[in-house]
Amino acid sequence: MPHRIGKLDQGHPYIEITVSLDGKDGTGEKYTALIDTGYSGFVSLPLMAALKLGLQPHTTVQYELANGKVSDPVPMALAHACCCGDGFVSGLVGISEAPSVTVGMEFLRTCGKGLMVFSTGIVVVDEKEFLDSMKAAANALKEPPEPPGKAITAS
Amino acid sequence: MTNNDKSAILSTREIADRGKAIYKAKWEEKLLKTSTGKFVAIDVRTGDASVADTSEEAIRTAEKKDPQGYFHLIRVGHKAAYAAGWYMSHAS
Repeated sequence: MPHRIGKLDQGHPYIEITVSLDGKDGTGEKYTALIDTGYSGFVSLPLMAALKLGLQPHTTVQYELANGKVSDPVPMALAHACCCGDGFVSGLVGISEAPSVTVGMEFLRTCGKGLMVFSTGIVVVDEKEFLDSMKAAANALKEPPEPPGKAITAS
Repeated sequence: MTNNDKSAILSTREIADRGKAIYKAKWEEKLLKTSTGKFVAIDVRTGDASVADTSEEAIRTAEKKDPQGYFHLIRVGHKAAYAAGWYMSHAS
């Protein structure tokens, strides 16, 4: 099953991603991104990273913060991103003053990924393949076992 | 700003404030009845609204209608278009 191994740093999950302006093969910049499952958006880049990539924001958005308040407006631009080694998907990239590159649930959904958290690290899996393999395993457990005493004859 | 004024550059705050004002005056009442939970991109140059199930789709539709436009993204019936999560809430 295709998967990516990430790391836990002070309890926060991180994964390697690539962000590209045009989504063409071999383009873009690689980042170690924090996976924030409370963030409903796609990708958030620090201002300097966004400038280096050449993002051209034309949209503004506000976030509902964890304390229920609404953030100041944040500029956004269309761009492409992926887990390193996968194909690019497009989405809206926020440009923030936060120091870390962050990916949210929209990134996992658009890339078709699931996140598994363990005590020592994380694994990002292809969601469809993972769910299919879980269904196959569940179905295999439902099948009745071979009746006892059934002889296998050798010819 | 008029439709012909393509050279005007607005600040992030101005785009958001204009977008919210247009949404309140022109679109909110109607969209709350039909499109709760959907994303709407408000074109602050034309006052037009593009509604879609995803934020990207709303912006791409708006951009096709007005390639020179500046947009403010809103989620109908929500305080804000996105939830920020713990990390972003504390970093902003």
